[in-house]
Amino acid sequence: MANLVDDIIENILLRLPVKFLLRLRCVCKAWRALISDSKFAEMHYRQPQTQARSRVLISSPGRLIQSIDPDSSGNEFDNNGVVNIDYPILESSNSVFQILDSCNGLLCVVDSFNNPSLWNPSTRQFNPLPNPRLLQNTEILYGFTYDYSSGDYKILRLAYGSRDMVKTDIDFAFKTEIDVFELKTNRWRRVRETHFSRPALKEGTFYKRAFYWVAWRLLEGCEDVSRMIVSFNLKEKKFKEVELPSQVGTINLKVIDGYLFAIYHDIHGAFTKMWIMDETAGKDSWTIFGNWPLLPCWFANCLKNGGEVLIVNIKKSKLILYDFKTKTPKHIMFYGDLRSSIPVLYTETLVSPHSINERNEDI
Amino acid sequence: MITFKSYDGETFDIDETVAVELKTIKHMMEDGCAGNEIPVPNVTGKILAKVIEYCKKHVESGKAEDQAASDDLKAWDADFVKVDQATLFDIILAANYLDIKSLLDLTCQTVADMIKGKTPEEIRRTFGITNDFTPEEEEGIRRENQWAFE
Repeated sequence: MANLVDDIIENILLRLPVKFLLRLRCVCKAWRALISDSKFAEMHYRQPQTQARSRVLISSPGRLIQSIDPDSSGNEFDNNGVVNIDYPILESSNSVFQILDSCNGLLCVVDSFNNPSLWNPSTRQFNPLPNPRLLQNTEILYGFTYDYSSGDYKILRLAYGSRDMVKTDIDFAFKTEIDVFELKTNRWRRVRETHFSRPALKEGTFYKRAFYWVAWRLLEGCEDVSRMIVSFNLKEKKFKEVELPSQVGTINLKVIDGYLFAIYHDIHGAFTKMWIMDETAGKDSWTIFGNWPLLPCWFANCLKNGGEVLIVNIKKSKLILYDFKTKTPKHIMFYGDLRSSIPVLYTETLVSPHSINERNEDI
Repeated sequence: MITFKSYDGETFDIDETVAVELKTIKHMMEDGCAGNEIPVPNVTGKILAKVIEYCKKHVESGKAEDQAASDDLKAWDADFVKVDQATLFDIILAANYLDIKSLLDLTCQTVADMIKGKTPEEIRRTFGITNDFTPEEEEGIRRENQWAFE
């Protein structure tokens, strides 16, 4: 019988799911080397079969983490498409575990000391990153992204000292530090240090090499605040301001299907309003995208490359995966309490959360 | 009309539109290296017949654009790969040598679907691979990802 050449073996293995590939590491030395190879991992991630294998992770404080296959037909043999995962952080003093975002299969998690780490729930690899320098009395905001131009995962940390306020002619400015962690170098880098008058109000999101967040500004007389969106461009190291589409209610920023959206969830009226960012004519502005009569909900997160959004239906404690491209909802079979859980959508990957500099040979 | 000659001397007359599906042959023709009879030394007559059958079908169906025709082609593909493993592997090697991407994708996907769920020992038998780990080494690797075996 013919023996298949290496290229063909690679072609076949690239089509398989991560869990199965991890088993195949013990077939022979050549297969172990291939499956552990970082280039193979990158190629495997880019396969359409891998991209289609999205999963939902639900973490509850103090309990097990569940990873759910949204396409599971509830087959008992498959354990209803649910896999239980242990918490990656071992010290009990560090029991708080918040998942910030997922990016190309890796999750950025933050512990009770507000330190970020990288985690691959598909391979169970965990990388507790070196800690950045801490500011005293700071508010911290994190952003997680994959930079395609450098082929690197990056974490942005925006810290401002809420007590370190300086009054300028027109404004109140806060000492602000922006640091960026790059996985390839396994190091934090100070990117910008300034006094900035638009401190962050809420979590932000990366969009086209800039980090966007909702910020506020203390108005004259300290009697009121106005709100706006601020972005920080990683390459140019500059801040830019964008008006909010509406001053009413809490606005969330999400990137869906490659576009930046501002989202307002009206819980009482039970609708969701969305605006899409329009970058024509060199000026950023918002265009109304739509009004959905959705049951009271909030958007968890979206896959960066896809049009899928994970939606949490608050009232009925249900999870829906909504595909903006095909405009179809998928109801996810899930048993548990969503009120204390933070669901995250992610794709599986073999890519290691460890830097090449400090990585072991094997997974 | 082009004539292919297999490793074991069988000849096949092919329309040029079908022959160019085999990228290796297409390059030979473009480079002017191909005469009237093209030798295909790495492929037996039995396998070359299957490969040509696949290419003919896909060239014919390439003209149809509706969903029904596309579904029919998928069903035909699914039947096409219902062969014994040795033949399947030979077709993969031929598709690889002759550079027929769609046939290579189809057959590799078929093998991937076939091995999903097999144990490492069954995989070794399928691919004729020798286990070059010691029992201790193998046990160590299994323990590293114990949860993947559950």
